[in-house]
Amino acid sequence: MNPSPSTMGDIKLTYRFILLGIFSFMIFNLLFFQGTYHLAQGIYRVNDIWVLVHTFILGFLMMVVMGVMYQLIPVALLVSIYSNRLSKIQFWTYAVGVIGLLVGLWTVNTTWMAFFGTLTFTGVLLFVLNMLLSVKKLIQWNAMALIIVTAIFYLFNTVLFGLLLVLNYRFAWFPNIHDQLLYTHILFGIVGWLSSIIIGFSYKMAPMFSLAHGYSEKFSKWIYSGIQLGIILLVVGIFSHIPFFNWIGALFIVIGFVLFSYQMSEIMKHKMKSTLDIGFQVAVYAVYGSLFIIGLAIILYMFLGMSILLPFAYFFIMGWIGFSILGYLYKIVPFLYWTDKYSDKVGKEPVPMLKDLVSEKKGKIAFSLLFIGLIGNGLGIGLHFISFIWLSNTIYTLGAVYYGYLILRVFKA
Amino acid sequence: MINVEKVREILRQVYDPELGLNVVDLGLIYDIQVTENNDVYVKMTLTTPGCPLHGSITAGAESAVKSIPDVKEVKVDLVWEPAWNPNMMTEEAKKQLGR
Ligand code: HEM
Repeated sequence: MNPSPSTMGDIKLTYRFILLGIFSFMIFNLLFFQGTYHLAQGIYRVNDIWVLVHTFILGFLMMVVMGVMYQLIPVALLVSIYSNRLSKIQFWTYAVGVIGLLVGLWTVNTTWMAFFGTLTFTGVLLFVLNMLLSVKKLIQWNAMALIIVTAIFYLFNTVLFGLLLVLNYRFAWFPNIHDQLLYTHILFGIVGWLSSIIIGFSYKMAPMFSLAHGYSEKFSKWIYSGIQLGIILLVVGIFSHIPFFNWIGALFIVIGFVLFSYQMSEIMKHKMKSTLDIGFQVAVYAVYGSLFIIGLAIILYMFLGMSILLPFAYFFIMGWIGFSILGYLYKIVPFLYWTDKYSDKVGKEPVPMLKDLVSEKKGKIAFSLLFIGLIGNGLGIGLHFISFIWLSNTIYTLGAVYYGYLILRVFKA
Repeated sequence: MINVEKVREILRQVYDPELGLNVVDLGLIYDIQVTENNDVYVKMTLTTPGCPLHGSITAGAESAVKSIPDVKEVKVDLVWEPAWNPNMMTEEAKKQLGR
C-alpha cells in the first residue's frame, strides 16, 4: 500500500536539486536588477531577459519540481521510481546543461546555445523517461495521474521546442517559423507543463494539507479538457495566423482556470483544519490570484491592447506559478526532511512535529516581502518605471534571501 | 497485565506529525485485541492513502505497542475499509483542529 522507503526516490538527490534551485533563485534576483532596463521598456526578446527567464524557470522552478517529484510521484501515485541511478545521471546532465545554456544565451554564442541546449534537453529527456517508466507500473489511473502524465508530455515538448529554437539560431533550419516555435514553446512551458503539474499535484496536496474530506471533484474532467483543448486550439492559431483560434483557445484555458479555482474553494469549504500553514496558504492564494490576474488582464486589454502583455506574463509566471511553488516548497521541505530523519523513530522516542521544523511567523514575513516586491515589480514593468522596479525588487530580493535562509535552516533542525 | 486500555494508552503517544494529533484521538484505531499469551492485534487506518508520513505512523504504532513490557507478538493491520472520515475523531481532536 504505502511505498516503502526503498522504492522512494533518492532523498539526498532531492536535497541537491532543492539546494541548487534555491541558489539559482538568489542569482535570479541579482540578474533581475540588470534586466530592469529592458523590462521597463517592454523589451523581452533579448539575451539578458532570456537568461533571466531561464534562470528562474530552468534553474529554480524546474530544479525544485524535478527534485520533489522524485519523492512525490511514489506518494501520489503509489508507484516506485524506475531508477535512482538514472536520476543521478539526469541531475548532472541537466545541471551542467543549464549552466552552459545560460552562459551561451548570455553571450549569444550560438554554438554554446546549441551544444548546452542539447545537453539540457537530454537531461530533461532522462527525467521524462524515468518518470514514464515509473508511472508504467501504475495500477489504477485517476484524474491526477492523467494530468501529471500529460504535464510530463508537455515538458518534453517544451524542451524540444526550446532545442529547436537554439538550433535555429545556430543553423537557421527553419527561419520562417521561428516566432511560431517561440510562442508554442512558451505556451507548452507555462500552461501545458508548469500550470498543469501544479494543478495535478494540488489534487493530492490540497486535501492532505487541509484535511478535507467529502468534497466533490466533478469538475476535474472539465478542468483537464478545457486546458487541453485550449492548448491545441492555440497551437492551431499560432501556426495558422487565424486569430479566431487564439481567442477561442484562450477562452478554453480561462474556463479551465476558473473551474480549478472553484475546485480549490470546494476543497477549502470541506477542510477540517481551521488554520492552514503559511506555505500552503500561499499556494491556495496563488490559485485565486491566477484568476484575478487573468480577469484583470482581460479588462485592461480592452483599453490598452498588447502593451499589457509583459506585466501580465510577469504576474502569471512569478505570481501564479512562482508563488504556488514557493508556497508548496515551504511546506514540503520540512515534510521530506522529517520523513528522512524521524520516520523510523516514531513510537520509540519523542520526535518533533512538522511545525517545529519551520517557523510560521518568519515564513509570513518572507512571503509578505516577496508579495510586496511582486506587486511592485509588475506595476513597475507595466508603468515603465525603472527606479520603482529597483526599489520593489530590493524588497523582493530581501524576501527571497530570507525565504532561502528559512528553507536551508530546516536541514539544520 | 496487558489489556486493551493499556494498548490504547500507549498508542496515544503515536502522533500524526503533520496534524499534531495522536492516532487514537484521530480515530484511526479501528480495533485492538489482546490474547491470553499477550499477543496484540491492532487494526487501523490512515486519513489519506499513500502519504509518506503515514507509512511511518503504522510502523510507529507497532514499535509503541512492542515497547509495553511482556508483549509477545504484535500485528498491525492497515485497512482502508471503512474509509476514515472526520466524524471518527474525538471531540478533543476536533477542537484542536479548530473545529
Ligand atoms: C532545453 C531547454 C530550453 C531551451 C534550449 C530554451 C531555449 C529558449 C530560447 C532560445 C528562447 C528565446 C527565443 C527567441 O526569443 O527567439 C526561449 C524563450 C523562452 N523560453 Fe525557453 N528554453 C528551454 C526551456 C524552457 C522551459 C522549460 C520553459 C518554461 C517552462 C521555457 C520558457 C521560455 C519563455 C517564457 C521564453 C520567452 C522569454 C523571452 O523571450 O525572453 N523555456 N527559450
